Amino acid sequence: MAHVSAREVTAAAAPKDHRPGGRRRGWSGAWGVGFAAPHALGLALFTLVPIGIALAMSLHDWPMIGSPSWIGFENYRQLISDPAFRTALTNTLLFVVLYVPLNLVVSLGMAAWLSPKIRHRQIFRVIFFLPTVTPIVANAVVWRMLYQPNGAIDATAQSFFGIKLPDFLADPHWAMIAIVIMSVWQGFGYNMIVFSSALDSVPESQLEAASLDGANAWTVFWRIKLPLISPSLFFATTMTLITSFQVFIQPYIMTRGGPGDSTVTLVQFIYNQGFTFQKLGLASAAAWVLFVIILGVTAVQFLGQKKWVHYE
Amino acid sequence: MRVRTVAVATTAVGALLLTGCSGGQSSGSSDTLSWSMWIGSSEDQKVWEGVGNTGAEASGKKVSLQGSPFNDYWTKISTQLGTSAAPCIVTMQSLRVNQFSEGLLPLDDLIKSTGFDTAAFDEGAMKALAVDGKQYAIPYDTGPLLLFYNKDAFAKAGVDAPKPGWTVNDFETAATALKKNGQVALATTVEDIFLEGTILSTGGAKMIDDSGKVSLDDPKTAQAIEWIAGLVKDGTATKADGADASADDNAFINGTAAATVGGPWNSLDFKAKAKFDVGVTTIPSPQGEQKTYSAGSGFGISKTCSDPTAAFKAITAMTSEKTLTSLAKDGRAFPARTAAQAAWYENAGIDGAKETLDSALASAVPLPGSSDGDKLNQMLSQYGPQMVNGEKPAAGVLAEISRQIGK
Amino acid sequence: MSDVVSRGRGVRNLRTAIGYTLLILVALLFMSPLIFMIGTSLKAPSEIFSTPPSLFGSSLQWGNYAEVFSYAPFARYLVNGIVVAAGGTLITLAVSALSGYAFSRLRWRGRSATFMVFLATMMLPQEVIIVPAFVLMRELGWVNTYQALIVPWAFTALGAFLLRQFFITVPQELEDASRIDGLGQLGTFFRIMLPLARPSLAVLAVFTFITYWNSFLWPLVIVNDVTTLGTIPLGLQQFFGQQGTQWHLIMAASVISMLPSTVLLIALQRYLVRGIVTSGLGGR
Repeated sequence: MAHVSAREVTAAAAPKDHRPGGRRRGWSGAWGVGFAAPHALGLALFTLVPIGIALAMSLHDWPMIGSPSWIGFENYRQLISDPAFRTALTNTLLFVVLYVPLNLVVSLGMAAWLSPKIRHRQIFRVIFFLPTVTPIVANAVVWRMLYQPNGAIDATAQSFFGIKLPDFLADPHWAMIAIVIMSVWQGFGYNMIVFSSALDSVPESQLEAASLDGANAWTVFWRIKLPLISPSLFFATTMTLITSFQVFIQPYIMTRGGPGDSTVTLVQFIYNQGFTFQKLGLASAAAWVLFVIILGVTAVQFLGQKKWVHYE
Repeated sequence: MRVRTVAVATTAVGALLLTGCSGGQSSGSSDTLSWSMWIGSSEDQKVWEGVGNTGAEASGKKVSLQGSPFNDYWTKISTQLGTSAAPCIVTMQSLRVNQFSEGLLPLDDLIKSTGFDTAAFDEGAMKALAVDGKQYAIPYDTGPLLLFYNKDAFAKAGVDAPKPGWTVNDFETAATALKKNGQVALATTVEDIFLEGTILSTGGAKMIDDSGKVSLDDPKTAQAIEWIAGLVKDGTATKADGADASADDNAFINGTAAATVGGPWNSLDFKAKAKFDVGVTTIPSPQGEQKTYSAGSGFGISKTCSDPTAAFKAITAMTSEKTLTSLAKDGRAFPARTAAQAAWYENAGIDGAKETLDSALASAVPLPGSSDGDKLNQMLSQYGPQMVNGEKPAAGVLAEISRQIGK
Repeated sequence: MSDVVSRGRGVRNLRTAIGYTLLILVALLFMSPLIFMIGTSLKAPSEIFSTPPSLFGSSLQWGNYAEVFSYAPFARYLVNGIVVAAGGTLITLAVSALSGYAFSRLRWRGRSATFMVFLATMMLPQEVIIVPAFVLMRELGWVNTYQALIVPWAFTALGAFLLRQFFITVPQELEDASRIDGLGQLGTFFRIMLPLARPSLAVLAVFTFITYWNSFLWPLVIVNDVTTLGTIPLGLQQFFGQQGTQWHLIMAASVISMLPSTVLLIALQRYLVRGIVTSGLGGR
């Protein structure tokens, strides 16, 4: 099972040369540059250049119309002192803290359940993957209807259990939780497929050895399977963390950030500042803060992986 | 040799990516005037394309319509104006013209040089599209904010059809009677037009002052919103939904609520979709003194338009008596041109529409715009439901909105 | 004895049956929002908010699906969506296959440094560069064009990473054999390596297509003329009109919008798991 790891990176830095002929035969310089060039140029123009532009913009007062003016770190200072930004930051962190573990538990659980023993499991896999291929906009709209007072969820609870549920999206305590639940439903399919294929590639011999030792299914899962798939767990956790910081569409469609500011996320803050309030500089500064946070979190992930990720 | 092949191939791919598929449209191409407009449906699109054709005939250039849904329209305009991507002809709402005047061309010189007759238009509608004495757009429609109501529901509850000039007390009595009959009276939303119009009529309060500044600290504003919140709590008004600005229209059309605030521009849609008799009256006021806002829309020209003379010719045709009369005959917009208004009354198909409109127009003042208009709208969709639905005191919520709009 | 065996089998059968029932129930639960979506898409507008809610209305309004196409230029949105997603996917597959190969089986100066930069950009969500990317598009004159929808996001590092992981696993003997057969670099790549990479390319294709197909924020920012250049997620917004939301149409349009990526998923699903095993991908 492949993974991004420090070791992979070093492996790339010093690739094993399979050939006895050594350097001269292995060196395919122009070809390598040529093959990598289209991708590298595109990436440079459309990702690296914009990152640089963003940094420059964040140091300017950059209106949508008119010319920018240099203001140094003023945008950053303004962000720090803006309670709306702090709220967006805490909301995003809250989303991440709730969403990532829930996503991993559900996707891992479903992947384990859909073991090769299940007949027609590919049908189930497609079913659980369906929400992921549906446009998030469409999903968000459906869930908005489900969450409404007297909507499908509330009405079901009333007729089966006789309880009136809160107005999820209009209640500041529930709105974010409602968005998290919808997001997990929408997004766990990716990780489920990753874990599913990782679990499939656990060698049969190891499992047999364990069951001969009298370990039950639970122990086998925790002690044998989980460590063996830890590289893909690590990969999935990292990617899910990164993407969860980008949450935008769900609140944009379901709550517009409300009630109050309880579901305004960082990306919505960036969008509002940039495209509604037309402060491109401030929006870029917020984007850089988001970038640095993600880099930090990812770095912690990489440092922490030694403790629990086992490579064969 | 091989190396060269790769290098050539790479350059070719790179060049293809960078230039091969570019050639995007620019607004200033010599034979086309681009025109941006909010478009709700294909039917809208057809009607407006027809209007565009009249502009094309007059200007001798193609008029190409760029449509986007109303909710996204203002964001898109704000990213385009001031750049080469800006459309030549820009559709503007009176209450938003302040926000975009920087990217629009003042039309006064063109008006003078072409001898365009501004007197043929409703004076208020014309003024509403001017900022600091400069005209930024020519109006095609206008109209005061009114109260549309469900005649059948009112009759069923034994409530007399409301007359223009009815009072808040009259409304409350009607609402109680409707409630007894299991009918919610008023549909609410947190959309700016609805809120501003309702609180001006029922409480004499303004959210944007005459100089175009958002000012929410007048206690009358909080009071007027508390009045709506009281209705919501009482079950005589629907709850507002921050994520769905048009929830009030839906609630009215499907019969959930018996009345809603809107403009003449709503009437075609209401009539077409509602399965009941639609009536119209003025928004209730404390003593029947009838204060209401009017709002309208028109066509302006962006500063970056390469041929403003042609664009103005097109606009002249797009707001001509003929064009506006034909729009009025469809029951679409209440024409800003006075000569075309009769056609609207004849075709609106709502009894008492003329009487109501005349009565409302007599006292209507243009709904002021603000350069912070979009911010206010965003804040209202986030915070508005809390005060309109009575979950938090209006004064506190208004203070929070003011703080966020801030500098 | 045979009694014991059959009892054991009976218990096992019972447990299997319970397991399957439970699984089907869970699957139904997870599908219920989609079922609700289909149900609502077939309701008359007046029945959508009826209480208590029902799955289907009093009669099935298949006409809603036709109305989607007459109310808004939805056919146009579908075609735009497919053009953008397919175009983006093709570019992504092409550049990623080449660079993945270069990062794994070719040796060149600056390779590891370049790869590190690629990896680093994987940590970068699209949203972070949305503002500068918009400004860049404005400078290039690409605002409101197809290429602005397609090109900027076709160079994500994920593709290179994914294919590199695959190409690393190809045995050296295969490459040596192709050399002995007289195939050059290009021949080896196109005739030997690329066909082998099919599962990985399928994974990349599915994920890239879905990402493009569902993308909302970027089209929202870059498309001004929605009725001409709009993709599906933008087009869905049109049903939230100025004059009331057309819920029945939104639902019908959503059902339609699921179809292309679902078809792609089912068509390539046999490759999917295999491709993931050899390349490692996840997230979202």
